[in-house]
Amino acid sequence: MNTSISNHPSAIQWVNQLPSASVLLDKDCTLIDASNSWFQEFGLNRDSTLKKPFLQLFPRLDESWQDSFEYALEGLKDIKMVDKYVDDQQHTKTFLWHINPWMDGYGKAVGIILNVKNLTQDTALELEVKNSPALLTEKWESSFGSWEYNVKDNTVYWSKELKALFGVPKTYEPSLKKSILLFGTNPEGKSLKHYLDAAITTGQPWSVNLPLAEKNRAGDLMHIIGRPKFKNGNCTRIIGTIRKAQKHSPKKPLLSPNTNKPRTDTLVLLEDVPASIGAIALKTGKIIGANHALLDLLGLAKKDVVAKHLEDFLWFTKEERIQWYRSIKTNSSFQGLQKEVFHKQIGQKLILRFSGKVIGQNLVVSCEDVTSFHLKEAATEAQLALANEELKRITDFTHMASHNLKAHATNFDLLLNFLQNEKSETERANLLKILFQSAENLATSIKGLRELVTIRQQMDSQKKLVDLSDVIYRCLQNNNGLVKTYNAKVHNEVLDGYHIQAIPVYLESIVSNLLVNAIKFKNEQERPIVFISVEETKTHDVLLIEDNGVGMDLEKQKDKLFALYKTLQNMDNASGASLYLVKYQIELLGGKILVESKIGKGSVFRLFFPKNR
Amino acid sequence: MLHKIMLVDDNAATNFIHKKFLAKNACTEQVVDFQVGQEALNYLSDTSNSFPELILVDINMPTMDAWEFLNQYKRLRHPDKTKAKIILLTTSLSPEDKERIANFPLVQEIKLKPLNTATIQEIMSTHFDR
Repeated sequence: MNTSISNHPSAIQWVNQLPSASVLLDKDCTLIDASNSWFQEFGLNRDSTLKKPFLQLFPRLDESWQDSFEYALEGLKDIKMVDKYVDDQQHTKTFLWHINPWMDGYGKAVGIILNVKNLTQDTALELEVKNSPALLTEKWESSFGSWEYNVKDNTVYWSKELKALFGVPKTYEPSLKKSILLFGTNPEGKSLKHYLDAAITTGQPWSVNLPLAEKNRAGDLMHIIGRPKFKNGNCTRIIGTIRKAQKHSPKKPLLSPNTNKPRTDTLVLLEDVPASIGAIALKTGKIIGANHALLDLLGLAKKDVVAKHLEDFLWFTKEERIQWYRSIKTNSSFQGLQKEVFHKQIGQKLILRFSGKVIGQNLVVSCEDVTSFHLKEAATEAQLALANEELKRITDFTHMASHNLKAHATNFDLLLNFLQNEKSETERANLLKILFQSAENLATSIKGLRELVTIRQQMDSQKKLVDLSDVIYRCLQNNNGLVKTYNAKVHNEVLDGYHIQAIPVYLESIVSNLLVNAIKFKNEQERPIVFISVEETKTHDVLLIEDNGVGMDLEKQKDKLFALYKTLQNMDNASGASLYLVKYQIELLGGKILVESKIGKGSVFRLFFPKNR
Repeated sequence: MLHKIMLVDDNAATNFIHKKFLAKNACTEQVVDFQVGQEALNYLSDTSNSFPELILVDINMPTMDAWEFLNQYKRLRHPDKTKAKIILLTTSLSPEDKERIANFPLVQEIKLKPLNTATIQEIMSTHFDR
């Protein structure tokens, strides 16, 4: 059977993702994991603190914390500890820690879960403190105290909190007799002595309410918990806690002696747990209880929930219902069922995650608000999608390049073989012509590949202000041969000194590729004319490249326009890479490209460069 | 010997090489070759041209790839079309391509290019009993 929290990897992952500051400790009180918000709150580094004894991480916490952890491991729920200290900047900080056992399916503690609230910030909690009548009269620290009875030495120890609770000085020395006489008997006629004796002789732990016998406070109910500790089969000491009894304090013992038995008193304890929890009767499927934390989370009142079916306010698909049912049947539990819920009070959609376990005759369901986690997840997904797109581009390009290069390489080999064995002069001339063409094709393929490598190399560069007129001038210089061959006329209307935000290499590649296309794909019998200009909008600098060339049928071929190794029907000598690379680069710069064109009527390319960095 | 074989490949050198090998193996009277799919389709739809018995089409062509070519080929009306067999060519076999030919019963198979004497002889014996 699983007895260690380390055997619950799913639970551990879950803790790290919790939105609240939460910590998971194993049975030896070493840190298994905690939520990111907790690490942040206490300025701890996750990697260097995991597996460390918890109390070593917080030297300011005294021994009473170790006791509290032990109580929690004994099954005591929602122990509250206040941690007040002055930080380096002389600020007083107050944290309220909720200490709870982490239970396995048999109600056996396999670790400890801690929830931390920063009281310095949490005004809601301060309100709660003020509104709680039990706490009005007493300080936080004095509402709860621990004690220990050493059987062998017959000595009794009271914590300073317990002394404060009873209003005795710190120097007060308690004894067993004094302790027993403090309390009267409960309605069953049993005194503290009865429970102590039972613990020593039969090992029976207890959790009961006893009235105070003191004259001035007679009738005040105290909640007393005791746990016998054994050594070599003998009860050597009993440890426990005392606090003012709450209205809903449990009447039955917290733990049955046989901890393997499924717990049945879950319902009573719901309210004490800082998590959002409810219970459903397995037989009827009706909700029998929900604590305030859960009702708050659902934005519902108790009457909307109790005696209702879960389906009355949460909608499940058929698949979810089947999955849920099966999981409960086979594992006696289900996990991670997520539902979107509209919270009326907040007026907002929340994403809630439900998990549940069969305990006794009931299904205990816990619920967590994972909305913020989901938002983060959505952002991560978007990033992942971008990365995948990037990966696809690279794969596509490598695929194309290897296809092309492989074809070129085998062709060269065969053609050269033919040439070597060819006697006819005309056929040799033919072969040479084909070889020259192939060499040119190969050069084009390699040029595309080289451009992609350049783009990749510059990907981490920062954008900067680049003189656009300079870039256009350089592109015209570099393509001077092409301009002359086609007798093209290029009108550059961009003013000297016009700067735009870009990575210089990308900008030059974009302008050069579009300029070459505008000239190369000209209308037959017509002199190519190209206009380059720039427009300014509030958010973008828009570069326009207009030509009077062959134009494109965008309706039929828009899928191919920016696709890799695709060329349009009236542009058979295109490389199939230049517009692909243009789009890639403008998108890396955070911009976009728009095209207008008609067959035979020229094209207009609009490039949007964002003005911000 | 076949009457006519058609080659469709955007790479002129590949068409040239294939013509050389076909001639060497003396398996056809005539070879017609095209670098653009649309031009090959124009040729096929012209009923004054005799229909080839074998059409070799490169899968990966920039203007019109083999799949677009096949979709348009389906619509062709030529009395001799039923006798023609189509084989697709590629530099590397991909699983997607293999799956895709299932949608085109017209396609006999996919072969790696460039073709050589051995593959040409294999094609002739498998598909034409020669």
